[in-house]
Amino acid sequence: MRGSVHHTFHRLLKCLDLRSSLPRRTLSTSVPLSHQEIVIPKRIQRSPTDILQALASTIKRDTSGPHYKHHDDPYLTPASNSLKRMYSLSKESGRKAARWIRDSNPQLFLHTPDDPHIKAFAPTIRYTEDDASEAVLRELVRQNEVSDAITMYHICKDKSIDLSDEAKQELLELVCYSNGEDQLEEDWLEERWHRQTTTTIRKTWNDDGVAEELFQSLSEKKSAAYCALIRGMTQYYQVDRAWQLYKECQEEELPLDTNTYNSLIRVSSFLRDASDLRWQLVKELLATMAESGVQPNLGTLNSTLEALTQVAGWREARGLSLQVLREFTQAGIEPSLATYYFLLLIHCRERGPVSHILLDILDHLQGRAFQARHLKDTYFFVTAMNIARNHIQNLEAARHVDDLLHTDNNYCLIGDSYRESVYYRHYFALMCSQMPIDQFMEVYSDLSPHIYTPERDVMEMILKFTTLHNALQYIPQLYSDMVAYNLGNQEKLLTLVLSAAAQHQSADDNIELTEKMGRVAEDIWTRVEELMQDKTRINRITWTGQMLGDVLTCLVVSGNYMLCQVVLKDATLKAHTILGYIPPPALRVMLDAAIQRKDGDTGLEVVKYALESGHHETGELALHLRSSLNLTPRQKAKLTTALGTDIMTEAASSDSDSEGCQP
Amino acid sequence: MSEMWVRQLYRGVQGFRLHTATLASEINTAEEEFRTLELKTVRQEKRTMRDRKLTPILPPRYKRQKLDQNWGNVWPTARTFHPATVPFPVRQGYPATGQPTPDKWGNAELMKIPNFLHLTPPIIKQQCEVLKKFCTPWPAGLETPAKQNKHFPVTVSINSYLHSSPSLRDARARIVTMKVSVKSLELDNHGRDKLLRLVKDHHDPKTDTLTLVADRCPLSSQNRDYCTYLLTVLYTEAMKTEPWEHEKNVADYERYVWEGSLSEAAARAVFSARDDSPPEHVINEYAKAVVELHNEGEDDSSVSRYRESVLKLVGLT
Repeated sequence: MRGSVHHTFHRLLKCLDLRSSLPRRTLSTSVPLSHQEIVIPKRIQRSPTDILQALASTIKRDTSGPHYKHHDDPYLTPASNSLKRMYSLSKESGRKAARWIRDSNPQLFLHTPDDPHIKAFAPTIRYTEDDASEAVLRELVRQNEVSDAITMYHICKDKSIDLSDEAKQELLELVCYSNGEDQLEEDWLEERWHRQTTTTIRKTWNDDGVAEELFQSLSEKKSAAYCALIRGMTQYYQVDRAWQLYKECQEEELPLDTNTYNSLIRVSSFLRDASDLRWQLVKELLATMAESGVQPNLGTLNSTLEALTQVAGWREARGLSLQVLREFTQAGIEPSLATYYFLLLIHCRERGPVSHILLDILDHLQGRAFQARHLKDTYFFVTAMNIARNHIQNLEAARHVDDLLHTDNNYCLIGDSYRESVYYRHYFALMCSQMPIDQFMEVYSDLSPHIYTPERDVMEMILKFTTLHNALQYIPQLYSDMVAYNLGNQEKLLTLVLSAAAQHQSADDNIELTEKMGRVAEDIWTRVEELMQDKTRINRITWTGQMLGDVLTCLVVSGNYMLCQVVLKDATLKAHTILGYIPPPALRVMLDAAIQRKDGDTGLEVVKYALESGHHETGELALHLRSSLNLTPRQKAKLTTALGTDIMTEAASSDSDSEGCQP
Repeated sequence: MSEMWVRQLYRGVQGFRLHTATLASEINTAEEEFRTLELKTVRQEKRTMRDRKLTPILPPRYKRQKLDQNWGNVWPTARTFHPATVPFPVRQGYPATGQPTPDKWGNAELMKIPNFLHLTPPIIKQQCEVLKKFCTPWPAGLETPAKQNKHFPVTVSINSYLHSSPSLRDARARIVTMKVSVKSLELDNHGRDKLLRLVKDHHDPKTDTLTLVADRCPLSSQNRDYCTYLLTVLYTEAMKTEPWEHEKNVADYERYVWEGSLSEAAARAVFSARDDSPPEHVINEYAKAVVELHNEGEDDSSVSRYRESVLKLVGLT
């Protein structure tokens, strides 16, 4: 009895033997009791954020609202590019201000309830001269504080504090990587996102900087020091000195590592002039690498291709690039997006033969997820879209590029805001020119304004194509979008909108559209008038005759006669500020409207304006007015003073032919 | 463009509606009439605030939402109610006299309460699908609570605490509660009696559960080990019989036992005096009634049962 109970208790204890950190063990049944074997499956291991990531994978970007960094409120949603930039950068400047306050008043932030301690929340430690020591220097280097580290180095030198070679090497690496300048902190995401870097290649290496000094002060110049210095110099295009150092290494038979060779290959085109000599240099470097037994990596592949892009005009370049790719793939190096970017640059040149390599690349990459493995990975999508639009004008290819961009997390490789906007600019331009207008407007309403706000040129293109395809029902929406995107004072765009609106024919089934067009014209009129009165405006809009004519046509068609009169009067008064004259068709329309409303005065205004503008059709207009309306003597007098008595006699002669005329 | 949104677009533009009228009148006066002679200088009207150029705003978000949109993308996490994003009309609050129930715009009532718009049934389904890959199947043979208690009679409870604060720590997270049903320990009467004497209050007679709570160590794993140790010690002690336990007398008995009690002695005395013993079952009934009175306590039903049994015993029924 006792024995079996003992067994029971052991069984019980075995249930308890389940530590939460270890996988569960199966319950053994060495006990002669009729239990079936209960098998508890092993717990599936997960990292602290796996569940959150799984839940996040169910969510995609919704295009009806702004990016999640902005407030989701109609009054706080940015529509134009300048507003988006302003809002996100101002929010970040708030964070910067908070950090500044924290760092300038560390005595206020001594209370630290966080357990475990969060270093990012604590004020940054500012070291003073008295703190100078090697440990402090190394700490500063570790924290990526470039200028502080350099200052500390100078202080150490002044105080004759000996620094070990390791410390000097670390500092050398930091200085070479950053060229002695503080880099933008990783915390300032919005600034990095909105920053626009110049792509001009010129020497920026700081010759008088600390790097050379540090290098010379090293007791033993090992290969690591040479590597750091060569890499830094090539990064900032101090190519000659880098080549000198490389030659020194060769003489002293110091081994160099892969990335150093990569950096030399990358700038080989600055060392030689002729294309074939450049390629020869690259081959020499690769051979030296192979001899020293240095394994190539992805960087080698990309640097070689980058060197080829510098000689892309050479007819051998395209064949060589494919050869290079083949060899490296066979060597087991997986190409990254940067590789394909360089391939596109080499093959799809502006002034070269058309190449459809993009289609092959897209077929190869379909449905794959990418991570950032090389600095230039973020250039791929923009270039691909550019080529799809400009080089091969292929909408299908563009669609494939877009699909690839939206698989998994590939959107992270779009780069920064400038590249994103260029990408969409190309996409929109291509779609606009090749898709049926209705489909295009669907995509447009989906993507703008929150994913992409069209710039002036793109908007111009859209308006042109809308007018071309006679899809005038979209004009009011495009106009209100234009205003919201801060393009409402662009003369070219307003001209296009007005000319499109003027083309609209009123019919029974589109009364609403006619009304909207009328309102568009009214709005433009008010807006431009307001802008003209604003003395501080830098870019003022000048009315052109054509624009005013279109305004008049629209207003007449939509039935806003009162405003027509105002517009006409204004045009007459301020004729000296208007470029050109209101064209005769618009005047004709206005005249017809005046006649319909039996408004002789306005009719006369029209004729007078036509006369002052020197239109040939003035006579016709006058005759038309004279014959269609019964003018009062005063009006007749005015007409005569303007056009001479002939108008009366001509009218009389034409009247005699028609019925019911009055002398 | 609806009227309201046109007005919204240009709410900063001064004289938007008046522009046309004033211009017309100005032009007319300039043409037709003489200039009036003004002897007194009329003070200019107070200059209005400089025209703040307001940015044109877009229509609210719900107007752009399609009917077949994925709502999970619009409202991914718990969020304060926002009328411009929620596409349906909803009213809440006590109406003012003669007014309808307040609508969703600027409705503090709707904003105060928690809304579960981030947990609509399709979204829950989607999230459950995605979480399935972290789940293992329920073990076979543990379908009913009865089976579970049979195979796993011990329950260990540890609470963890999440704070919306920089600190992770909570002192209550070290507390470990261990519950075990005493029946599953399969002790004999002596063992059970001894165990219950040892644990006293930790035993709940209604559910026959022994509860051990440990919070004396700083870590929950240590407290858990301590609970296990406690249970082991209690069990082994309950299994042991100390040499002095034979000194247990009637006064120490935890339950009233009729065999060998004064009540039996008295009854036997009565029977022997009468030379007449009632049948066994009557005596058993009497014994049961007495035991019940002692162990269970007195109440109407038990007292009446005692009465019945006594009458039967004495033969008065």
